[in-house]
Amino acid sequence: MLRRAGFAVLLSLLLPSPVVAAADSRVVTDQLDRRVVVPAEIHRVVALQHHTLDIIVELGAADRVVGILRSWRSMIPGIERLSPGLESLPTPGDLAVVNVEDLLALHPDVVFVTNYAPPAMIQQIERVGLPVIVISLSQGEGTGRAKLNPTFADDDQAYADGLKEGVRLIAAVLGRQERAEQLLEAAFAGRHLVEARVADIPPGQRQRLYMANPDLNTYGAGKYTGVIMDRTGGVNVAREIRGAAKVSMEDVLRWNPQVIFVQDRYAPVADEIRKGAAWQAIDAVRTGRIYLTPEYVKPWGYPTPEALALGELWMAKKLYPDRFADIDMQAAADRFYRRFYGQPYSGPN
Amino acid sequence: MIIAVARAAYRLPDGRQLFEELSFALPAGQVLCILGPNGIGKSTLLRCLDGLDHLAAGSIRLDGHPLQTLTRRELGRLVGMVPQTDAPVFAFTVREVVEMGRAPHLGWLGAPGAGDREIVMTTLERLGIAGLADRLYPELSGGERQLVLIARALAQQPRLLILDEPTSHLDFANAMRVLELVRGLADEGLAVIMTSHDPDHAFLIADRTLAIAPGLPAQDGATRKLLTEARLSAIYGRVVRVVEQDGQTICFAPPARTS
Amino acid sequence: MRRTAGLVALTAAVFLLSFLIGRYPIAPWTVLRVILAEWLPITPDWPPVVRSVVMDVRLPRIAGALLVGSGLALSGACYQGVFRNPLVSPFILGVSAGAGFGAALAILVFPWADAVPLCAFAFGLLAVGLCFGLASRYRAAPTLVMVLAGVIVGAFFTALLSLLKYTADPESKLPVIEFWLLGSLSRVGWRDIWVLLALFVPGCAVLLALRWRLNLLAVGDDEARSLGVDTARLRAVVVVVATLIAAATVAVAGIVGWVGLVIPHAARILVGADFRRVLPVSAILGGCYLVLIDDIARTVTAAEMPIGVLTAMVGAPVFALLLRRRALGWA
Repeated sequence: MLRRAGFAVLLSLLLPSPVVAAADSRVVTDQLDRRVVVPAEIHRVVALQHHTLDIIVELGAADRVVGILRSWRSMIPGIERLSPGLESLPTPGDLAVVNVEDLLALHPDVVFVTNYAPPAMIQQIERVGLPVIVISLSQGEGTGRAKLNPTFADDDQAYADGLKEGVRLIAAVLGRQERAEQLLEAAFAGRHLVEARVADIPPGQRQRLYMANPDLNTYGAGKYTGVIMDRTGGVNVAREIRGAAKVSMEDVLRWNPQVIFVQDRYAPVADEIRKGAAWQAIDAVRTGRIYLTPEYVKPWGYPTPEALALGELWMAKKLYPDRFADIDMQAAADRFYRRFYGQPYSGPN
Repeated sequence: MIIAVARAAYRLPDGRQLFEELSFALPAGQVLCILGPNGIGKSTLLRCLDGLDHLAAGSIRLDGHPLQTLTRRELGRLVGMVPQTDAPVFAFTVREVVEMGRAPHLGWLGAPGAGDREIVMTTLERLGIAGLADRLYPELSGGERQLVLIARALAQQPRLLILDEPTSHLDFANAMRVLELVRGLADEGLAVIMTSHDPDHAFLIADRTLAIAPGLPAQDGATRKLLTEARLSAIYGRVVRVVEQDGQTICFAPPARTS
Repeated sequence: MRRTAGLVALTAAVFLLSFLIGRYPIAPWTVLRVILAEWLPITPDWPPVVRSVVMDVRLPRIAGALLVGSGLALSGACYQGVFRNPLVSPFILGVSAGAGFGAALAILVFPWADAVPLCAFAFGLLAVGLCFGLASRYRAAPTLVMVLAGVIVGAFFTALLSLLKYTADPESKLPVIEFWLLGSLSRVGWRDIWVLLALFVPGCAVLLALRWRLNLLAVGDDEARSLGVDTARLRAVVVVVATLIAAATVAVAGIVGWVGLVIPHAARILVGADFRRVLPVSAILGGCYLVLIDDIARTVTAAEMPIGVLTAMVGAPVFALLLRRRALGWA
């Protein structure tokens, strides 16, 4: 008790800004290294970031969410099934924009935003006295963390450490630390399983993979997408570009992927590719290896716990079915869903 | 002499000489008419007299001071310029237009005060257009507009009034009105320089004339003496006859015979 | 004089009534008492969040709208006089293209909060400076050449902006850039207000002091010079000051179009073409107009509407209506 008080005093003396924790509040460090004062007890949360929303549901704290990002339906489809109350929640803002009066009307204790929220937006919210916690699910050096396309020395390490840090941060804020450790354990267990079995695939035999987002957009290096592809024994054909970007048809033809993945939230793209004249010359289209990723794979720019627990497994099994013949995806997914979402899994695999 | 020009010359940007060795002088109370065919440089000369353009050679002295030594404001108090036409963009009222003439008497941050507004009204009354004071300038007829521009120049209370072809857009009656007005202003003590296409205007009201003929040195002198049939024919490149009628000198150009 | 008093009263009314509008529910009587409590000893019977909404959210925003609106209208009216063209907006010399590029650059490259308005301001001024530089090489038709230079510089920065947008991450950076470009007062805080005031108070003082002289510029270069005006210097002063004001508004609020173009016309319809009246009336009308527009932007839907969109949606039809009237104040 005394130590904590002494620490707080020491902290407040050392820091340029008066981050003094009062008796009923505490200081947390978010993923942009900002020291934020939050109330000791958090009952009302606004999540303006979809990964955070997902993690909050997995931590079993969805009942404390009082406001979510406007574009949640397109960013994280299916979450309404896992947490029915979300559909009726107010949407006081989005990833990069906020209506401060709407936000205030919800009387939140804390607001979660993404690391690429404009600094002006964060200032807007802080100005009215609401604590803002920035989630990036990645770890990088210094100011690079504020950019969406950070330059990590090691993408894999950056996202692995970042995910752990982010989940633990959210859990610490919500007081669900024990649950967080269980979630992380499940996530990394899935990862280690895959790791062990694809370790011996020689580089020359790694399959060429392409992530097809709408309108010839894809994810290049620096994103979790590349990490998941790498970990499942594949290689991202778009790794020569950085971040999310639009590529040209000629690039895709030059790369000639052997497998094309399409996220479930962009399902119509798969049909476009199958029918598109320019796409027919590509190996993946000729051999019919165009796969829609099930809901739990989430091979996005940022990692989610279920992507590590289930997604990497699913993708590895798709690419090397013999090595993963014994894995029953439905069972694995169902187990995870029941445990962390409180619902069975009944979707495609 | 209100204005004295000595051996003025102007060169065009492409190097051609527009006019040279041009000299004249004008005292207060007299009208000088500048005659010459199109393109000879009359308007350019007027611009130089108002400091809007520069001579290549020669000098201009206003009220004894060399033109280059005068500031724009001093020049504005000495010389009032009435342009041939203007293209109004904004619909100012007549009063507002004439008020602009007070600018040379006001500082950088000054705006017209009660005294200036007094002068504006007096000027409008003097020209007989006080009734137009609150009308919108672009809605006036050509003749009315010309009078307003003259009023604006007069509001500057200049010693020299310069008019660039003041009658070119006017019908016969309005043209006569303006010419009579100009003569009246000179009689009240103003020095007036005007350009004209029509030598009859010179005969009507000009004490002195500056005749610029192509290929010949510009000549100035008393109107009656200067404008002989020979000189007029040289200026306009065709036969010109001068006659007296009812004490008035007029000229005309007999039609060229076709047979 | 009575008309000025009426317009000032209108501004005060619009200003005060705007406090009553907002998505956070506060009773009108409470709003009034919250404001009065800043000076009078009234014990608050409202939670601190209510004061925060009124003084930290609504007040800077309404004040910002007032300043940005009046600044844009004032600089628009000045530009119309200097360039002798009633169809000119304060962005004609490329200040908005430059500022847009600067803001996009800051959004992509610099992560700290002040970078965006600073970069926007700097590049906005740079764009206009380039115009001056280009135009100074050709002295014969100064205003026409300036406008052409503005077209060139504007096109150049617009192209650079497009390049930046192309390289921006389409999931995150690009929407942020687009939203900034469309204009918004949601980011306005107290510091922005002080900065705006620091520029506006001297700037508007200068322009208002020179407003009669704008009449002289507006009738033509030669005629103004005949009337004793140092046109080059006057034009430079007016353009520089009006540009500083316009650049400051863009830096704070993004690109808010139509105010600088349409409001001076509305002012001319009300009070005639004389700049002695058009400048102050434009400023007042511009301020009121933008406050009202922003009231709509921040309350109509939960999604904040960009004000640039609203001013265009309202401004374009209004402009069309204006064209049908006879007494436009221009020939």
